[in-house]
Amino acid sequence: MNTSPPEIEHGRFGSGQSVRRIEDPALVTGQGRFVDDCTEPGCTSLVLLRSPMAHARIVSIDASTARALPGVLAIVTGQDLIDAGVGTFPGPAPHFKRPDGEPVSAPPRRAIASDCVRFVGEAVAAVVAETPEVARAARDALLVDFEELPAVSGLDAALAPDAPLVWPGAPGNIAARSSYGDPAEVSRIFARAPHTVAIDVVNQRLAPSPMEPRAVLASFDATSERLTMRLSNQMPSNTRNALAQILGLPKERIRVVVGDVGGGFGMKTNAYPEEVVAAWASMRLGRPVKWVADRTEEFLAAVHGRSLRSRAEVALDATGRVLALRIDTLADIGAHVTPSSLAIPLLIGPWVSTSVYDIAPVDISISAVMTHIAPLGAYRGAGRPESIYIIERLMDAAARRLAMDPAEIRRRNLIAPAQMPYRNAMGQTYDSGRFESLLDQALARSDRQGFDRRLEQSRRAGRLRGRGVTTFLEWTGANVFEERVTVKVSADGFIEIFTATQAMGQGIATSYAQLAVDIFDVPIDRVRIIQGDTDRGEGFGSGGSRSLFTAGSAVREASRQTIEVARGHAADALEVAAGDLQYRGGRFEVAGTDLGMGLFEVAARQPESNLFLESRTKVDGPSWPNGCHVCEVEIDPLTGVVVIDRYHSVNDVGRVINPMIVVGQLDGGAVQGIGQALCEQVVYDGSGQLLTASFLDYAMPRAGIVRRFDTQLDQTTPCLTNPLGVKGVGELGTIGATPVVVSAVLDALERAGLGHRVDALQMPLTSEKIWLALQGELPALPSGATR
Amino acid sequence: MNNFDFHRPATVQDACVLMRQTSDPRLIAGGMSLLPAMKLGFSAPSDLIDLSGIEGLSDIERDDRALHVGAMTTHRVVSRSAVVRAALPALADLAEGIGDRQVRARGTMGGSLANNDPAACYPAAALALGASIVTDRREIAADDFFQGIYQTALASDEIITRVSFPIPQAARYMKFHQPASHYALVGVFVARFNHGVRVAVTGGGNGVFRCAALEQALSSNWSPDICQTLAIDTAQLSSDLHASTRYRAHLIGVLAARAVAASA
Repeated sequence: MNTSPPEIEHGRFGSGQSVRRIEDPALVTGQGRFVDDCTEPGCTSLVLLRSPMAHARIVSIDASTARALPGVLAIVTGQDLIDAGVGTFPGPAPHFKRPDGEPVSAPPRRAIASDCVRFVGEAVAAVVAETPEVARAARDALLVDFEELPAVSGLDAALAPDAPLVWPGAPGNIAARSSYGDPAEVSRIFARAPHTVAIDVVNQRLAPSPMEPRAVLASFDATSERLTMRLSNQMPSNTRNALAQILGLPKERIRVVVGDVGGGFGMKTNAYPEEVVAAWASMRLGRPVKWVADRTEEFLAAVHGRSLRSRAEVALDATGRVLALRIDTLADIGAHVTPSSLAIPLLIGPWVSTSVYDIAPVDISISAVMTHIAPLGAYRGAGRPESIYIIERLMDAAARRLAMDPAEIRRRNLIAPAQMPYRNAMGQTYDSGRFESLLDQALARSDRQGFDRRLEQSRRAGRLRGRGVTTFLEWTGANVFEERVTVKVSADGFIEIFTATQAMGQGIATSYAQLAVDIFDVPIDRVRIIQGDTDRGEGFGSGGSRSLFTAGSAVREASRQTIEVARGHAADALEVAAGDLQYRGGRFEVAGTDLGMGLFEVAARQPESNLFLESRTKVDGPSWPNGCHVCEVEIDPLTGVVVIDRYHSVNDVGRVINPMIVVGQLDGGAVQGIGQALCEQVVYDGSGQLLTASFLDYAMPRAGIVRRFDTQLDQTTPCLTNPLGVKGVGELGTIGATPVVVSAVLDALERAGLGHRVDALQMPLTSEKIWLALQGELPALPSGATR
Repeated sequence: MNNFDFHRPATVQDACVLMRQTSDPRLIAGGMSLLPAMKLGFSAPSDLIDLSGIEGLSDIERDDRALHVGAMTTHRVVSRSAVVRAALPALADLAEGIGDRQVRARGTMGGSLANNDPAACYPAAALALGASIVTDRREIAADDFFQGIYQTALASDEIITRVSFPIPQAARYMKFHQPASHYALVGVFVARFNHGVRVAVTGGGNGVFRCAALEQALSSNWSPDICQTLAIDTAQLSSDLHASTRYRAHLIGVLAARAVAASA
């Protein structure tokens, strides 16, 4: 039987097609392999004892009862790790400075606190036992004598003149400050501008909340003296390197293996304390050690995202053109200073502060404030949602101040295609973008003309209606542009491609396979995408929406190179000139003859019955995906409940490899953005206790939050810095959704008679907050700075 | 989850005996509250006594004055029962709004009432309708049954077998979801009988309670408008992350009005 489908079929699996995800048959039939699905002979269980206090000195730990329980294998304290030479977590990049100009100083972060705990949930001790039940019982039998110390929770408490210090190296609880732009020039412009608008903007703290919590299975092999770490992780190489550094091992002695990952959203980009403890315990005991977080541990001790409060101001001329932008931000980074807790708010976020708008003079400063809560890290968008939300709130506030149409004020400030490549005020260069075209398309799709009719219908039904519009872009790429891939064509008829980027549910393997099908011209089931093994290769991993445009470009380039190598071998075997061979449908043929050889036959003739190729490809820069989102909401004025009635978006993600996956990324991302707008928030009380430690109190958006997304892709503006012409898409939907939903809600409230007072409202826009606003109870606007 | 012994008695009497003979037993019906509590370590019974093997606890019957629902009847069955829908559509709709599809397929009326979660839906129906909670040994009036958060009049070895709901002239339940848990942030059950109106509120604070102000007002004038003109007493209402007492009080009026408007 000829199992090879007819040639025309291959095109249906190449790029540009909504190929069904090759990952899904296993996942939807329960055949996925997540860390918790894996075990090893002799596997033990790790459980952490976590601090119940936000700030305390560990006076003593009495482990005698716990240690005596049958099945307990080890009790590990912070001192044990210090005694064994286990080091601290990598600190922030040295270029970040304190306000006094000194280099940033970070408290030593250890896998288990040794002398002092700085947030509720920080590990105090660990138990390794034969079973999770025994480990938990032993944990509960540990007696820790804490000396409670004064804690600071919240920016105001941290910045109070007499506030306790989280770390002596951060005077005034400010670990670092970064400033950009020309404050003097901006001040001059503000002084003489016809209009200035000032608002306070809060990007509340969020918990990333992937479906699969963090997990690790550490297994030390005494014979090879190698440690295998099975993780749920987006950046295997990076995490391996950090673990090697902390454990004091050469990195070759650690192998990180990643199977299926149930969502990462940035939260799984770094090494975590639990992984260090599991690794060390496995080496110490000579047995596999497994730890799986429960949901409350994720809320307590995984990184959170966002967590900014800003005073944001624009100066405008009489026509609505922005003359200057000033943003002063406080980032609540929590109790530890990590590479990402500074880089995201102090560096990455500011890069897109001016978004799609042509705004030259800026004055931007950001302070990283330490408090006794969990550390800050990456969450879908990582800096860009915060900055885009701030500028979009400013645009809406300015439109209200000048009594302009919110779409029109944006239009007047958009960067024109003729200005590309455009270097923004932060020195970032946009390669491409037709922002006004997207605005026009989105306004048309959203039936702008019909809004008044819908508004009247809502009024008759006793409901408020408002519409929001957001134009925006984002930076993708993590500024790591080179990817190495390997290609192995085997005699058994398969093409195996390895990349060090990492699938985490986004469908990236399918997209790579489609790119391979484009070049190899074979059925997609002949292509196997391998990821998640540091023994096979190193790379930055997946973060910052970089996978497709970096590694996808590399997959295409490596595939092409493989064809050329194979062509040479085929030419030798057939004794023809390589240039006479045409490649089609998996075969090299001499045109007009029956002379030819299949790709897999070429592989079979090689010494090891395969063709192996390693290739590095570098793209020229980041990509700048962008979009225009338009949303209409209805509000029940008696309860304050918001219903998202219409949601339209037109998105420029360059060329599209798989429209179904791209739309899925945009819509799923948007739901997370809507979560920030309407319901999600991490809340600590004044003593640093976490009040939102489970899904009973942390309000996730649900599937029904939007009736239908109308998600359009405009492919007319390919990215110019990579050969595929693609732009990153993983975070785009999240970034657009938050401001557009807030914009629509505030528009509805403004129409209800609240006027520009709505500019004082902060997320999440809960029903009670909206109801109170409708009763006339709103926060105050910044005084005196608006004219 | 800790180890426990599992029993599946065939009669209510056997279940009662097991309850007395084991050291720290818990009855399990659908397990939709108990199992998560056990998984989280909040509950660690020595013995689980499963009521699902006892026949006759899932019957639904109607006579001329009341609807009788077996304690082990699942929310799904209540929501889809033609008998319930004809006699007390408000109860069928309430059941259809509990939890999610999986919870409705497992959770039971008796389990919900015995647990008396302060934000559960069924306690509002039982209290507003003046139901009788029938146990292995007696009948308990709903007014006496609910005694604060997770507290009921049940003895430690007492088992609910059936709940009898007087059939009202009109009734309706309205629930406002707590945004995270989707339990009732506030739920209001209104029931009109020829002898007067009863109104029960769940989710407001320390367990289900009757709202005298609404009952008096609606007894004299069964109309939505009257509900929103009343000042709801906030003494029994709680304030938390998800709502202030003031917002809860306001919602009670709004939900009562909507319940009256939609009642049948």
